[in-house]
Amino acid sequence: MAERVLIDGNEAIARGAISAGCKHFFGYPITPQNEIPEFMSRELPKIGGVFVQSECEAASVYMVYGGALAGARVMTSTASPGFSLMQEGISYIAEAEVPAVIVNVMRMGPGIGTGGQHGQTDYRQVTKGGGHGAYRCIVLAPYSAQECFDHMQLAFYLADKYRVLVLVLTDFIIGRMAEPVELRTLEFDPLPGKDWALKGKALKDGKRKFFVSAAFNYGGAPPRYYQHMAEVYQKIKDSEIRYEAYREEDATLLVVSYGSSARMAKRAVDMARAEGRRAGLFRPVTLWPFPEEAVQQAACRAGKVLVVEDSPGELVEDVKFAVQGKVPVHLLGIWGRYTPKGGIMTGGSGIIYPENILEEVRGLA
Amino acid sequence: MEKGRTGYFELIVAGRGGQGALTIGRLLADAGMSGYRHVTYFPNYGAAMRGGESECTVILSDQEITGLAMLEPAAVILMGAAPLEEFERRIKPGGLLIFDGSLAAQKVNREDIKVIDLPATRIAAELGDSRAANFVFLGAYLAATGAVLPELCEEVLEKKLRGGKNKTLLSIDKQALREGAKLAGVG
Amino acid sequence: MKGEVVTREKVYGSPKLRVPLPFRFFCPGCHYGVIVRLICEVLEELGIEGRAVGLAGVGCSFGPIPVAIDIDFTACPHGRAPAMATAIKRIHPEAVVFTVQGDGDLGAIGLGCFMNALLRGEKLTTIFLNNACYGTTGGQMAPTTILGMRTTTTPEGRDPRTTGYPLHAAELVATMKGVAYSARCTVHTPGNFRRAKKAVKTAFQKQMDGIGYGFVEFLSACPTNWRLSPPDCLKFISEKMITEYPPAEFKNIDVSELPVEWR
Repeated sequence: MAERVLIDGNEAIARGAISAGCKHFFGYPITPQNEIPEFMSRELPKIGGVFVQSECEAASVYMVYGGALAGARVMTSTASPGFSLMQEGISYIAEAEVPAVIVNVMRMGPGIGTGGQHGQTDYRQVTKGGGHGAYRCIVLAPYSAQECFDHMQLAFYLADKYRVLVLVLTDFIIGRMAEPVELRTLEFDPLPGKDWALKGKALKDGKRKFFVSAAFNYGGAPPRYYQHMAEVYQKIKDSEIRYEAYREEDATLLVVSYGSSARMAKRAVDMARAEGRRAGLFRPVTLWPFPEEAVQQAACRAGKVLVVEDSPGELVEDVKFAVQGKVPVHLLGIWGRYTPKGGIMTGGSGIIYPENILEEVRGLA
Repeated sequence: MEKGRTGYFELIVAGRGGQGALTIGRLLADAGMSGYRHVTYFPNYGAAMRGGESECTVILSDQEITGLAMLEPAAVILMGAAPLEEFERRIKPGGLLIFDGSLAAQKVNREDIKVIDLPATRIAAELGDSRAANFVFLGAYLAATGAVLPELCEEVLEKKLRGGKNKTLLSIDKQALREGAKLAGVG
Repeated sequence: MKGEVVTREKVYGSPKLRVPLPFRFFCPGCHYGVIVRLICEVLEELGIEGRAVGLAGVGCSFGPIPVAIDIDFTACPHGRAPAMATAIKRIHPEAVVFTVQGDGDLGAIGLGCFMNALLRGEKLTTIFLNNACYGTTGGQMAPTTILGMRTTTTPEGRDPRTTGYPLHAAELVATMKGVAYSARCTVHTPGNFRRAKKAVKTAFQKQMDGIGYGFVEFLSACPTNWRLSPPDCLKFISEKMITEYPPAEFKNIDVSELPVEWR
């Protein structure tokens, strides 16, 4: 059996990446993801890898772009404001169809927010794309340290398989929370070689590769480019949708939640069940592609939906779209946080505790 | 299995940055790794490096841990002058509160919880280092709940401090753990 | 004369690496074509075409240069070539990685990215094309526009009180510790072309020897946006540009000048 260690989500991300063969990391410090670059700076040189501390997130993302073009498994990690800075580069990486992984350990708010505390307010930006040009990225949302570790391996595999950018979305809570992680290496299907990598033509088949723009790659015709991308995205939708359904077969209320909120919601479901209330949890694991059909079916079976997210309401838009008005969809958003008296920083910013969700569930089921 | 082990323990340790609230939370989680299938340690603290509020939640369980934090914990350790009123109110009926009454402005009013009031800072100072107060609290918690064996905590502590310059620190920390257990007045 | 045998020897032609373009990318009189030729010749003469990776910035270099040189090449987002080159070089240290960037790309939007690559002492080479304006977008003011020069965004001529002063990249680069070589060249006369070729060769050699960053700035004519005929552009370079931007070698250190532990 694989070694079992108590590590936090951030370290699990870093270790997962290394176990996926990522030996090149380009990053910039920002709270609450600093444990990732710190770990990489310590560990990568030991395995012949490279850690570069960039001067800003815009540089990080272009180092990732360059590294992806060079054919290596490369990544960066950041938090919300840094992720905003990366949007241009993300759009370019999507255009060039090169595989890479970016982790966003999101934090609360637009702008500086709370300077690094918890919140899930990047959902819309991450899933819909903050950059220009109608591209898509696969988005994985782990909700435990083990999933952080496993999802990084999955992320690199999916990126290589489809030649897309994979975003791993966690948050302050998932990043900081330590849990036992089994350091297991996941098995995936074989992948095609990267004959398109830039490294000097003599270092591969002697044929040169050059990249100018996507339209150029597709004969200068944007419709042909978008047709190709639509096919890629359809393949991803057909085979890569992932979600967890928990105690939802006989539920009369479906709680939909992801990431750290889903942890709280899962507990709330258990508490509700203990009271005899038939609540169930639906947790999207891929936020894009979003498990639309599965959400709709589960929602229609239950007849009522409660979305729980630590945000003013972003996931709820996707859920409403999926449900198409067939059943009522309620939201327990950031206003559902319990805010203690006293402190203004940690305590004062509040948390949506399982008990807060249970209260809401009691009113609905 | 250890005495009093029920297969599920949850604890919030609250204090200010520098008091070691997170240190003992993490220590408990590390020590819990050998006896429990599931462990969560969730530290929550402000952006400031020192002096801000800090709090952590530890859960040890034989079953999958669905939550990771709770509004109403079964046990709370309050370091120094952490907000007593807030946490006293939140503890589950029948739960446990460990704090230093000599540093608190108010009295505990609830009668449906177990209260261990111990002058941890003074005890630690008498042992040679007031910064070991957190270990006095942890010792009391372990004695009162049996969540993990104190020896396991000492082992983890030894591993963590191995190669460290301060051998006296380790010895004081261990003594503080034992002293806390003694003063918990279990039974 | 009747009966005399005529032998023909090719004495001038395109470098092997120069890919013929399907249509004309550069304006008549633009120096980019000459500089592309120069780069091809240097890569061939150093024998590094097989391990060369080029990165072109946004501007008139964006499309044509990656296409025109028969090596691994990518166009880059505006100003970001040094960051992308950093990753490629770190991942494939045996590759010879260089960027070709214009003055808007390197000197404005990408100045921070470029400076930080220098600060990190990356083993890269940068060819900087200074034509004193934004060529592709229609001749707007660039960081390198000389004082008094009319552009589409300085219609009355560049006035330092409102638009600041020209960027002297080669001099600035020479002050940076991670840099092994910095020079400014022109290609407006055959003699200058030869000197420029030597400079570019040296700049590549510094990377190959692992000494440090190599940088060569070119003064390059832009007849379209300068609104001058190609011959007048040459005159403008020799009379105006050179006064502001003197061609010279500003830094050239060899391995003996590095601290012993870094050699």
